[in-house]
Amino acid sequence: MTPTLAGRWQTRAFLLVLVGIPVSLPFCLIAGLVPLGLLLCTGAIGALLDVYYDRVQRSRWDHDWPVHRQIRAGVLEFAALLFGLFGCCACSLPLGPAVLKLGPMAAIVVPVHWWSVWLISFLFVQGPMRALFPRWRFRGGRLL
Amino acid sequence: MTTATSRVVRLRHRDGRVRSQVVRLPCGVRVHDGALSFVRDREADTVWLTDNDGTLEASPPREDPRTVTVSEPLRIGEWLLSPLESARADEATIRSSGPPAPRSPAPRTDATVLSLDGPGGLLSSANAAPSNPGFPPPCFAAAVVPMADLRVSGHPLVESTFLALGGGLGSFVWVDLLRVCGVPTDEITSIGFESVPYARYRRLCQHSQIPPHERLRSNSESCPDNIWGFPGYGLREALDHIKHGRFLAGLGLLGQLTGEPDRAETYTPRADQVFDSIDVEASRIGWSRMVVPGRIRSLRKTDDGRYVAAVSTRNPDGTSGRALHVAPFVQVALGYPGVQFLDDLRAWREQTADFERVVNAYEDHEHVYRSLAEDGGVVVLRGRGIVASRILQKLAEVRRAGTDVRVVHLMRGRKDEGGRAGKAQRRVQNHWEFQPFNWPEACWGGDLATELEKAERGRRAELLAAWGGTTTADREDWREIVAAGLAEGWYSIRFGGLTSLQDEGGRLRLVADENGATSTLAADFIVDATGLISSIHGNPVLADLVQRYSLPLNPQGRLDVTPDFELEALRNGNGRAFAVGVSTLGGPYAPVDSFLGLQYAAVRICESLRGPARVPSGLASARAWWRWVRGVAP
Repeated sequence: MTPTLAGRWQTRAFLLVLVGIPVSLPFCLIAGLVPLGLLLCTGAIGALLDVYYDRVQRSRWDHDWPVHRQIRAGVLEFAALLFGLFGCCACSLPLGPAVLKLGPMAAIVVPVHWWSVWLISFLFVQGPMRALFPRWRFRGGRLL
Repeated sequence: MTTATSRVVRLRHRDGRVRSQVVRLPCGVRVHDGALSFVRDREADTVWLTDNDGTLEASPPREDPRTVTVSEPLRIGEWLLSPLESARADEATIRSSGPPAPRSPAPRTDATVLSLDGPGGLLSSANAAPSNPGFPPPCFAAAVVPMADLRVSGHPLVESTFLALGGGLGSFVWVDLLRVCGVPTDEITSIGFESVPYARYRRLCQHSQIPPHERLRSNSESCPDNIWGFPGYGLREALDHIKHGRFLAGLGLLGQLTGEPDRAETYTPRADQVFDSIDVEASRIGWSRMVVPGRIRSLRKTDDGRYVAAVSTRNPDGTSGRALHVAPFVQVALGYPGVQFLDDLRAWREQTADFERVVNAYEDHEHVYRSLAEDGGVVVLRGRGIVASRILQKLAEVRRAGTDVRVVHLMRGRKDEGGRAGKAQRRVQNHWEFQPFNWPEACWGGDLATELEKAERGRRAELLAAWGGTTTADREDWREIVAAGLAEGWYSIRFGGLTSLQDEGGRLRLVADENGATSTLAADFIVDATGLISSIHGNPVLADLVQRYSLPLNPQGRLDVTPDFELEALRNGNGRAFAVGVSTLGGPYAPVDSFLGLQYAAVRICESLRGPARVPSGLASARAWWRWVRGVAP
């Protein structure tokens, strides 16, 4: 499946709701609303990065987005999230104090939660998404 | 129906002898020690000739049910057989046949034939134009055929909701989706000449050196047996390895799927894996209950907002019949009408009837490799697409077996730089240009597909020219063969057009010209790997449709379809006619003749039909997919 920019945004939003929220709920028991906040931040960062991914994709001959690029995009998004979190913590911006409140546990909860959401979303896109929406792959990832 | 009739045929021996013969059909033709004989009984070593509604047909020796139309010379041993008349010869002709009739060119409008290059290597097509004044019935002369006329025509009238014309992979993919959409088998009819939908495709694969264990140029999720593309062929193959304890192989494949195309070679499925999966799916959807074996003669609108196809059918006992198939929704998927030859090679074959030394890669040309394996020799290869790569691979294998095989690759021009589109550029090595598939991947459903669909007609032609062209897959083994061949000297590349081709002491003498500089080559064989004919004029059914309804053509001279693959000019009230496959190349969608492209077309057609066949989505789709997983009928 070769996504278009609209397809990226729609698929990302769909996955945040369908996969992100259910996967985050158990983490909320430990960390309150922090996981949902992280999810929201990830969505925003990812939506911005999608514009960059789309440009990269268009520079490739096939205009494709292979699996290894999807994995690298995950690493980039996580790094961007951490960078943003440090900034929030340093400047006491929203989400920063809540993360600081978690103390050392944040070092476990944040990556485990984030990568759980990413991994399940990644696997979902590789298979179940196609079973649910047969037209999705023919429309560059657009659902609407 | 098959009739006892007589035909005049012309026979030309390799040594130049020519004879004409009146044959009473059906009959067998057999060659023993170079001598030709006609026999009344069908035996294991005879080519069986029959008459089907005025069309001369041949079945190969052995118990092979395949039958092809004879409109080009048919090789039988050292003889070439050609029909002299498209109509039957009557008894008077037999009695007064006397001197041979002058050779008439093969009636191109008489039938659609890919190639008839010898028994066992027959290619056939489901398409043929009317050649018998009795069928289709006279009412087909009108653009809109009254149903009342059809009912009194005396031919069986078969009605269904969905009619797939072609019976090949294009038909199968659409019918498969219709079944997934919940359409029952009794509402669907598929008409084709082959018993399995991939028969013709498989034959082309075999001839172009893709044996069952070799890999196709198609990606993992292009699954004609599975509209969801999940699990793809790559995942299935990996799981199969793991299931059988071959963990490393399985993990290796998963790694390949993850790394392709930048860090690993692009995964492509094995031919037999694809064919086997289609067999399973065909059984699941009840394909055999929907298939009518037959040859399509003509398609017309009816006066009640439907369409009627005149079909010469073939009964299980070998006899033929005629039928009229009526439906409001028709999909035309007739495939490639023939093999393509460069003009110079076509002229050579027509002049000399040399079907032995000058061959097309899509014909059965195993004799070339057998001869090379025994005596070695020089092969001139034309074309530099994926088929040329496969032929070169085969020649390298023959050479490795121990004979002195040399390959001269005659390319029309140099290729020092790959095609460009925007900032991207294709890679070139040794004048071969690479891309994983025949179009950039985003043409199948990404931004390039959208761009092409939205583009104006003129712009489309530019985009297609930039994205397409002759390329081959970037396979390491192929690159190594070329590099090793060049280094060792058994493979060489020459440039230029062929200006002269002559027989010189039993060998072929070629003169090539590059910008005024000529060079001479001596060769034992020429393999033309330049592809298949994709012009609709090579297909009499399509040519007839275009003429009868003044169908518009796209800038590449093929059927002009809407983004939903509809032949808008054929709309008939609520009736809709669609065309898919190579006959639509040059329109709003680029990869029309690929597995995934056919699935894309099927989805677009069903989406545009809305009511009669709704593509499932969400949980309904998941349920349909789960039925596929369990092998349960839709």
